[in-house]
Amino acid sequence: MRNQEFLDRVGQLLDSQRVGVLATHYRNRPHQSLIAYIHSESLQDIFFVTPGYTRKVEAMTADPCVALLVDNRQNVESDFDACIAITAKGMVEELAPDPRPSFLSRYLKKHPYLEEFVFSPSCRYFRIRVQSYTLVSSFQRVEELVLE
Amino acid sequence: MTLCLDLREIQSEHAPQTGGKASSLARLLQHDFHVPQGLCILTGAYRLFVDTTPLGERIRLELSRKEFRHMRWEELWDAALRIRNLFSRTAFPPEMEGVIADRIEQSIGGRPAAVRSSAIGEDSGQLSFAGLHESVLNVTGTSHILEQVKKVWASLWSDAALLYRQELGLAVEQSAMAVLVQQFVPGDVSGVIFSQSPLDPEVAVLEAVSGLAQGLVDGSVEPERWEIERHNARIHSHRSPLENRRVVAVSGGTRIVEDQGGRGESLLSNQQIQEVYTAALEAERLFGSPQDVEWTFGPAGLQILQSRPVTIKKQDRDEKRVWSLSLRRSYENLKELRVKIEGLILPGMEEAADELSWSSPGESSDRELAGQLEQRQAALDRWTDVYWSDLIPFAHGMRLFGQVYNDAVGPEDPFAFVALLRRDRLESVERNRLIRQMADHIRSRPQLRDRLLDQPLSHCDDGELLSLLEIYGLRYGNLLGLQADRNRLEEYLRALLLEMSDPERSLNVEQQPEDREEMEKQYLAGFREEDREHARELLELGRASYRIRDDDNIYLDRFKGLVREAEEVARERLRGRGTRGVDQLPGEELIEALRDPAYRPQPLVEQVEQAAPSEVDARQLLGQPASHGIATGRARVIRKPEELFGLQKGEVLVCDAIDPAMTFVAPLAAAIVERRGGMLIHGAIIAREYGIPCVTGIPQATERIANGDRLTVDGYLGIVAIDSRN
Repeated sequence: MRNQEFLDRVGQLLDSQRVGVLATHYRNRPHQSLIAYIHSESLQDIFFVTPGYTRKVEAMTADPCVALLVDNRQNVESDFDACIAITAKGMVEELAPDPRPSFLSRYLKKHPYLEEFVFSPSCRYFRIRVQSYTLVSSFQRVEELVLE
Repeated sequence: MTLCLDLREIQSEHAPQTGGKASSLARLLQHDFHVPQGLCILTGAYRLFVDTTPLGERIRLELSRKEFRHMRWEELWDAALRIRNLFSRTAFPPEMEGVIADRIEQSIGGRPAAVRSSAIGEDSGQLSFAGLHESVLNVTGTSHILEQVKKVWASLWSDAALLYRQELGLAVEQSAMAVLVQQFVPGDVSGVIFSQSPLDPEVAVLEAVSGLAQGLVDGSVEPERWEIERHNARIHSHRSPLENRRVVAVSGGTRIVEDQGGRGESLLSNQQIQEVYTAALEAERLFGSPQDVEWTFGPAGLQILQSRPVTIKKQDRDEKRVWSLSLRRSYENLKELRVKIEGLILPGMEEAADELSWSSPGESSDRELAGQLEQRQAALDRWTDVYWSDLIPFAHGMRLFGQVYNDAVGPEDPFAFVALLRRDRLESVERNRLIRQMADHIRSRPQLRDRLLDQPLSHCDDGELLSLLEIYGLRYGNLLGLQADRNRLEEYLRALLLEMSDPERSLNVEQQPEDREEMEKQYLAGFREEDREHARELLELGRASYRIRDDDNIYLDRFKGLVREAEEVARERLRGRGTRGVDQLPGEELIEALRDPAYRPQPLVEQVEQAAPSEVDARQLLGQPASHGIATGRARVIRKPEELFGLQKGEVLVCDAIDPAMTFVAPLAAAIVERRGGMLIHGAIIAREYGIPCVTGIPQATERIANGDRLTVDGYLGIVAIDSRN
């Protein structure tokens, strides 16, 4: 698959889903959480919002290396051939709350019901700088692209 | 997609989109009944509004905060208020707004309108759901009408509707509501007629009130009443009007005023009675069953406002629900209740408590002590009943004001109005201030503090502290009215004062609400000049409700303290006689044993329910964000009132339910977590007074959180995170 075709499929999948599974680790123990995300057009960045006192923030503060799994499974038999899953791996960084990060307006377009949550003073803003995407399709086809 | 239909266009097949009320009115209009012109905004419009805006998911998020079965009446109120605010603050998609606005313009023009709910299944079945949803009268201007349409939609999720969610089959995905927008008729006399009485099939029952029918429907005006024999249309019985009040329209609603008409004169002439009766019979023939018809005589003569089948109201057997519904009070009712509370109830409580305080249990004979205990318990029972019947319902004044404030100002936070209510001094805050004064006094005298580290309070030689202690005792009695001997109580107070006077620690202080004057101006600006006085009255009522909600508990606590004082003396004496298990004996057993020295009460065997062990550990708990802020600290779980005295500065107070008597620890707590839910309960009120975060409505808070657990309390999102276990 060519780069652009690969990236198009990644972009389509990220567009089609609202939440993904964020994998972190802390003190040698794995931790996963569901997050509502958006991605940049270039696919180099993925943004999300979470309260500052959660386990994932504690883990990301200790080690910013994270992975995000997004898939379109529907819990039916055909998932085995039709489901696509991507894993974005990269480094996470916190964004300053003031001035409000520019991704928020797009974030609220995708998740308008989260307005109260997003603007709560308890929430913090994060960006994953994606280093690579792994794409799994047709049950066992696995492809990977390292971003520049 | 068709969003609206004129009443003249509605056919029977439209019923699923128009609701019963609109469908019946359309049929009446098409059969030449006089029905006010108007249109029906179909259920599809509701669905479009909810599905094309973030509203649907936000309602789902709001309702998923907590399982319904765990929600208290106050939490249902809060959820309904938040949902109402969401509707108000969500803009119509422009295209949809344009289509509906055009239809309203065509149908209503610049005339005043009535905006009424027409819910699916509202008037069918055995339970009548009338009154669960909102209607707004006398609304002028298309944009205002559109705003009211959103409020009527929001009432699909009113607190009362949520109580009947199972019967109504409420579900965010499927439920919808149609809305009627009709020309408003400023009725001179209005009422309802049952073409056949549900109690006597031989007669029809006609009831009339002066002004709008609202006063009759909500029970605030007693009607004039006729029974008419169905076989010859003769009046069978007549009851004259009992009062000279009428409901009139004011901007966006109604008000009760004194009627200028002659007292005792009949509201309807014989001809008018026959006219209404004939219309009801014709409606009965048209629909094929006896009808309950709402009517009014306006400038254009008789108009029919509603017609639905007569149903025998089935008694609702859910007592809790019936009680919750009884808490919804009108402004008039609350105004009368306030006069009663301030003029009779609170002074009555004070007087009764003063009188009971004259007797001194310690110096009485056993027989006298038994009598005192009986008297004190009877007084406590009596005033507790009054507390439930009059004082708790008065709390609705805050909510009524909150709704009016939100309609006028449209704030982002639906509970912002609370800041405007905090004007008067709360008894509990006054009491806390006195404790604070003692602590400050000790703090400013390091030598006194050093002495108090190993000396009882009463042994101290500081005149000022002793006089403050005396004032405290006289005004508020024992802290918490605790069941403990004086020495132990003094120890508790000493520990509290030492903690509060620690020079290394700063205490939380009461917050001054910001911009209250500005808020008040903004609120009043939301009303027309002629309605501002009423707006001020509502604010005043809200403030009284806020204050009394807190003070009434302090008053009631005096009786609890008096009972406990007498019980303690009784236990002491019985212990001296060698009676076993004295500490567990209920009051009546104590009385019996005091009166009859030969009586040997059986000690109670305490049944301890063993909860099934669970290894599931709570990490993050979800409740209601009752006071803003975030704080982290160790949990101090309070299972018995005396444990409050162990609270140290910076700890998070975790308890089942805070009452005002317990709030003296607010200056020390980093945050408050409470099992009992609600935005306007004592824990929330006191947390806001001191500007500390508070999350309420955490089921089993005191079981799921352990002493010493490190917590983060998020008072913005209503989350309690257990960062680490002790």
